[in-house]
Amino acid sequence: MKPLNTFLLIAPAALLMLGVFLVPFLLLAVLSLWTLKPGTLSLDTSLTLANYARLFGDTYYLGSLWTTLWMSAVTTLACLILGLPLAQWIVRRAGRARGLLIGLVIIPMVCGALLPTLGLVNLLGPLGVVNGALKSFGLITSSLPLLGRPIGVIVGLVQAFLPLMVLPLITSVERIPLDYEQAAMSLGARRVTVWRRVLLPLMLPGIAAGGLLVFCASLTAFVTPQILGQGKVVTFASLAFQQASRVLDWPFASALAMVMLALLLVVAGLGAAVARFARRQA
Amino acid sequence: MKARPADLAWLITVILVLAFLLAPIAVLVFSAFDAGNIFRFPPRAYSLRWFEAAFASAEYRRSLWVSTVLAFVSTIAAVTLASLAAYGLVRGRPVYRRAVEVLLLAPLTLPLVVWAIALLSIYASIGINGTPLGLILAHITITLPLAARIMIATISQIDPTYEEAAESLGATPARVFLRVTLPLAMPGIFASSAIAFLVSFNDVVVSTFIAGASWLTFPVRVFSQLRSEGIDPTTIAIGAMIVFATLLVVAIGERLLKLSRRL
Amino acid sequence: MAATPYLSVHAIQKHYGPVAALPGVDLDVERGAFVALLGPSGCGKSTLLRILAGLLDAEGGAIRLDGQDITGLPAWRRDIGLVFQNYALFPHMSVRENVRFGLDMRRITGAEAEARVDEALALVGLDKHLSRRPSELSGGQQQRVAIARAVAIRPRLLLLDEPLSNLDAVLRTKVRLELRELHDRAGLTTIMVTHDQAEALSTADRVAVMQAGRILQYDTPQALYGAPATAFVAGFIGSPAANLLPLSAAGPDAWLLADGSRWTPPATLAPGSAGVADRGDYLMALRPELLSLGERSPDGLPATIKAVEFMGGDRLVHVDVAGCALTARLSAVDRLPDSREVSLRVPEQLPLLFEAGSGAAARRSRVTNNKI
Repeated sequence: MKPLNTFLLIAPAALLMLGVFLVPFLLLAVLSLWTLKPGTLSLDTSLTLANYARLFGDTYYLGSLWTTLWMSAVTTLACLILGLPLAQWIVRRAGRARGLLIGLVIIPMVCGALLPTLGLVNLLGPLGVVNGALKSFGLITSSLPLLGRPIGVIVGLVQAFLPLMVLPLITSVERIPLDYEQAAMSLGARRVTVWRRVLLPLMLPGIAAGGLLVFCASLTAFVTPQILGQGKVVTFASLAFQQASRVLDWPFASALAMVMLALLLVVAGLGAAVARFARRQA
Repeated sequence: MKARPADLAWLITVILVLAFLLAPIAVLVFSAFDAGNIFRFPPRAYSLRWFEAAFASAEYRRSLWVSTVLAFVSTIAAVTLASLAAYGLVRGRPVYRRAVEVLLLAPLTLPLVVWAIALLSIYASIGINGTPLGLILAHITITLPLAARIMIATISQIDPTYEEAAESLGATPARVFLRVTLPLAMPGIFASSAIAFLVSFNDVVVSTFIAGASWLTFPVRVFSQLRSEGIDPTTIAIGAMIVFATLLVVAIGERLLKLSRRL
Repeated sequence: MAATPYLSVHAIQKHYGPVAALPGVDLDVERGAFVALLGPSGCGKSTLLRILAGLLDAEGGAIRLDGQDITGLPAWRRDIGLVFQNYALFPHMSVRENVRFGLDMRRITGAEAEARVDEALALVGLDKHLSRRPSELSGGQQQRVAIARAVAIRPRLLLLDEPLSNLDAVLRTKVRLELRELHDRAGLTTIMVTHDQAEALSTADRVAVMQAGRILQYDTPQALYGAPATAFVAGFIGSPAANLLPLSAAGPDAWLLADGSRWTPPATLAPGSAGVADRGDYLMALRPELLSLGERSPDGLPATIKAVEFMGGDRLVHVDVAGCALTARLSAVDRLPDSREVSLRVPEQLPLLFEAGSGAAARRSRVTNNKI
C-alpha cells in the first residue's frame, strides 16, 4: 500500500481521537489553573494555583480523597481474590463452557454502570433481597444498613470492575503452557507449591495489568458510589462530578480531575514497575 | 481427572463468584415483576404493571429513542473509522503504527470521568454542549477504541495471501477489498458493532456530563432522577428489558462470532 | 521460435533494508518450458517469484513477457497465475466460486465461465467437490483447487511457490509427476520455486540454482549433476550431496590433505593431469555414490569408518579423511572391509575440482552424461 493511502485510511480516526480525546486532556491542565470570578460563572484566566490550594487545604476534600483511595485498594484486592480462581477455572477446567463463562463475565461491562447498580440497590437496600432473606430466616430483626456505607459502595465497585481483572488474568493464564504445571508436578511439587512457585509468578503481569485497571476504574468511579453511597460516602470523582455538573465550577473540577490523573499516573508507574519485576523473575 | 475435595471447593468458589457477578442483574430483572411501588423482598405480589407503564410512558419512550439513535449513529461512525484505520495500520505497516495504536486505544486506559470534565468545558465554550453533535462525537470517541482493538486483531488474522491471490487472479484493489477483505472481516465488524452499540447505549459516565435537556439518553435520565427522587419502578422494568436485550446480543455474538475471543 | 525469449528477466534488483535480496538477477525462459528456481530458504527465489507475479516491486531491472514490458504492471493486469504455498483458497467461497473468481474479474460469465471452470477442474482431476468449501477438502485436493484456480484464467505464465511442501512424502512424489503432466497437457510455461532438489530435478526442464540472491547455475538437471559450475552447486545437488574435500597441490604428482598428510593418487587424479597450478588450495568434489572402500592401499585416500547408516537398498558410510567428514554410498550387498582403517577409492575419471576461495570450477569434467 502506498504511504499516502495508508495515511488517508488512518487519518480520520487518529484526528478524531487527537482532537476530541487528547486535546481536552491538555486543556484540562490549563483550565485547572484558572478560577471563577467570585459570585459568577465567568472565567478568570489569570494563572493561579488557588484551586489546588483550596483542595489540599480542606479536610473535606482530603478526607474524600483518603476514602476513595482505601476503597479502591480494597476493591482491587477483592477483585484479585475473586478473579484468580475464576480466571484459572475458565482457562483450565471450563472446557466447552469457556465461551459461555467469558460471555457471562463481560456482561457487567457492556451493561454500563447504571443498570447493575439499580439491581444492587434492590439487592442491598433495607427492603432488598439480602435483608429480606436474612429476616425471613430470622437471622436479623432490623435491616442491616448496607447502602450509604463504604461496604455497599465496595460491593458495587467489585461487581462492576471484576471483569477488568478477570480478562487480563485469563490472557495471562492462557499464555502458561499446561506442560509447566505437569513438569513441576512430575518433579514432585505439590499442587499448592506448583501454584505458588510456577503459576503465580507467571501470572504476575496479568495481575499487575488487571489490578491497575480495577484500581484506576475504582478511583474515578462516580455513578456507583453516588447511588450506593446515597450521598453519605463521598468519593473524589463524585466531588468532581458535582463541581463540574452541578456547581459549574469547571476550573475547580479540573483541578480535582488533574489530581485523579496524577494519582493514576503514579499507580500506573508502580504497576509497570511490578510488571517489569515480574518479567525479570519469570 | 478424578474429582478431589480441592477441585470441588474450587468449583463452588467459581459458582459463587459468578453468582455475585450476576446477582445485581438478576435482581434487577426479578424486581421488575414486583407489583409494589417500592421493591421489597420477598415481594407481596407479582405483576407486569411496570412493563405496561414503561410502554405507556412517552417520556421514557423519548429517551430510549434518543439512546437508540445515538448508539446507532455512533456505532456506524466508530466501526467505519476504526476499520479503515485498522486496515491502514495492519496492511500499510507505517512507521508510526505503534504511536497511532496507543492514541486509538488510549480511552480504554485513561479515566473517562477526567476526560468528560474537560470535554464539558470545551463543549460549553464552543457551544455544542447538550447538542446531538456533541453527544455523537463523545460516543464515537468512547466506542472507537473498542472497535479499533477488535478490528486490528481481525485484520491481523486475515492472511494477506488471500488478497494477493485475488490480485494475481486479476482483481483490482477495490475488488480485492470488496470481494475478499470485507467478507473475511465481517465477523470482526459485527462483533465490534455489537460491543460499540451496547457500550454507547448503556453509557452514563460520559453522557451525564454533556447531555442536554432535549437530548437526554435513558441512562442519564434514570441517573439524574435517581439522585433526586429515588427509584421509579418503571425504570426497573425498562432496565430489565435492556438487560434482556443485552444478554441476547452477547449470547448471539458469542454463538456466531466468538465475541469473548475478540475482546 | 523468436530470437528473444518468451520471458526475459533482466538485472532485477530488490533490497530489504541494507540487505540485497536480489543484487541483479537475469533469467530467460522459453515458451512452454518448465523451470525450477532451486535454493535454500532465504536465497531470494521467493522474492523473485513475487516480483514476477507483480506482488512485489523490483527496484531496478526489467521483465518482458511475450514481447511486452510488464515491469511496472500491477499484478492484476499481468495474467500470471500464481499457486501459493498455503494455497490461499478463499475460505468464504465454494471450490467452484474459487475457480471462477479470476473469470469473474475478467467479466467472463454464464455458460462460458462454467465451461472454463469445468475444464480447469477436469485438468487437475477434480469434479465432485464443486459445492464444497475448501476447508472440507484434504491438503492434496486443496492444492488441486489452487492449481485449477490459477490455470482457469489461462495464464501467460504459471508460477508455483513451493507447491509440494505442504503435502506428505508419498503424495509429493505422485503430485510432482502430475504437475509435469498438467504443464505439458495445458501447454503452460511454468516457473516453480522449491528448496527440494528432487522436486526440481525430476520435474523441470531447466533448473536455476540460487544462493544469496544470485543464480549460480541455470542448466538442465543432467548438467547440474554432472558438471556443477561451482562448489556450492556440487555441494547442494545430489542426495547426499557431493563431498567437498579440501586439498592443496604439492607438485604435479601429489596433494596435501587438510591435516598436512600427503596423498599420491593415481596419475589421472594428480594435480599435474588435472591441469592446475602446482600451488593452490582446491576443493575436490566426490560423489558419495561413486566412492568405494577397500583395504588400505598407497594410492587410496586413508580413511577411518566412523558410522554406518543402513538405508534399505544401500548404506551410507561416514568416514573421516584427514579430519574431514566424508560420506560414501555403498550398495547394501557390498562387503565392508573388516578393519575400520580403510582406503577410500576415488573413480579415476571424475574428479571435479574447484578453487577453494571462490568456489569456481578449476577444471570441468568431460563427463556430463552420468545417470542421476
